[in-house]
Amino acid sequence: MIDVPSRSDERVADAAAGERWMLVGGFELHERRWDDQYAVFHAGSGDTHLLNHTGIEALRMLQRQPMTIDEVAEKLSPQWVHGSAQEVRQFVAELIQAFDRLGLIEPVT
Amino acid sequence: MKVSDWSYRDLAGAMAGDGVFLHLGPFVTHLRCAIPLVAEGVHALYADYRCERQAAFADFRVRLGPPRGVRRWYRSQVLFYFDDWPPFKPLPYNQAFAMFEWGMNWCITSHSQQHLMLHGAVVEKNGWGAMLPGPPGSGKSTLCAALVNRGWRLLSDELTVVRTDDLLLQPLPRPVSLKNRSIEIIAEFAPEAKIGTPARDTDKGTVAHMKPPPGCVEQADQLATPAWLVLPKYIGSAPPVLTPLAKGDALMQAVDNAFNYSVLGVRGFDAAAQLIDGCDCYRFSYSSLDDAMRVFAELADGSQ
Repeated sequence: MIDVPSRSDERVADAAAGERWMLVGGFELHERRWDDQYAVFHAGSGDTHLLNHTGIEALRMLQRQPMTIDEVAEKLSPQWVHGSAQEVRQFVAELIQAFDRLGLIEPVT
Repeated sequence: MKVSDWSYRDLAGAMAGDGVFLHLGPFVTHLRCAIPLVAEGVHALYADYRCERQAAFADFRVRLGPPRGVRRWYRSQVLFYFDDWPPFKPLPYNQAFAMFEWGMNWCITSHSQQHLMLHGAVVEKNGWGAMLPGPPGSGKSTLCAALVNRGWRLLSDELTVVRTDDLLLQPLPRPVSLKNRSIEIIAEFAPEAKIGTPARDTDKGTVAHMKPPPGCVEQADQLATPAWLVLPKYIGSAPPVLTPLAKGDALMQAVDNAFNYSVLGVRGFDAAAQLIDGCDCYRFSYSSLDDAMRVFAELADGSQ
């Protein structure tokens, strides 16, 4: 295993400035649902991830169109994400960071 | 002709000469080897397998022999050759049969990408398969060895082979690999089990292989329907606890224990997801094999 420089903090800082994110292009998402567990296969990386309802809802949004953190936070169903606007935004920022780290999404330039 | 139809002398002579064609479930291996330890292991533990001097086709061409150089005479070693190429570093001579077993695992997992292959044991009862995936040390081989000595049919102790077209379990019965304390535990649990010569001081400690019980090899063409996925964990002095496992978590466990999941791409995901769909999934911790046998008997008769 080799060390690579971390980029996530910088990316999230960019995101705070209104950067738009979208699913890494050219690859389909394949899903399977069991109750509140969603298994997602990303054909680009060959990796499989286990998400909850909020995670899959956010990922589907980013599959449909590029969005900022604020836009995702605004559209996420209140049924699934509780808390103040600031807390929801922080939650979505962390979600975006996790998706980025997993190679599922990329910033739109 | 089965291995048991050969005298040891004839088998060892044929292996040392032009080689023999050993039928391992759906695979045919051409094996050449002049090492008595390997011939003894094949003669004792592969007794029920079909073995011929000639065959139209071999999936794998395997040879075991000493490396070149002074090692031939000083602290002897053995190499495993696949198509005359040695994919592994040599091992001490006393580990030759274990190397044959490990090398065959590699042959199958590296060259059979048409199936989804999970690292784990798989056994069958009444046509239904129980998959026991898990990393080394989880106790899956010990549990598998115990189950197949109590009426379950051995499909494999290492490689769960799932056919991606119909999701049935393909038997690949071979000797069960036992390590360290498991060897004496199974010898005590099933005194009738035939266990081969232990190889000591391997990377995994002491390793010995148990002959598949009668019937497993003869039924190697009878597929099983996957019914249970059980993640075993041996915990000393623990009572038997069978806990339902969420299907998403079960899928991730299956994926983590798959040899060729990423090679299969979306076909692997679909197969693994459908496999999990059709199974009841559990975590199972245990310390007593007798307790474990009872729990699995309840699984098989539907009372769990």
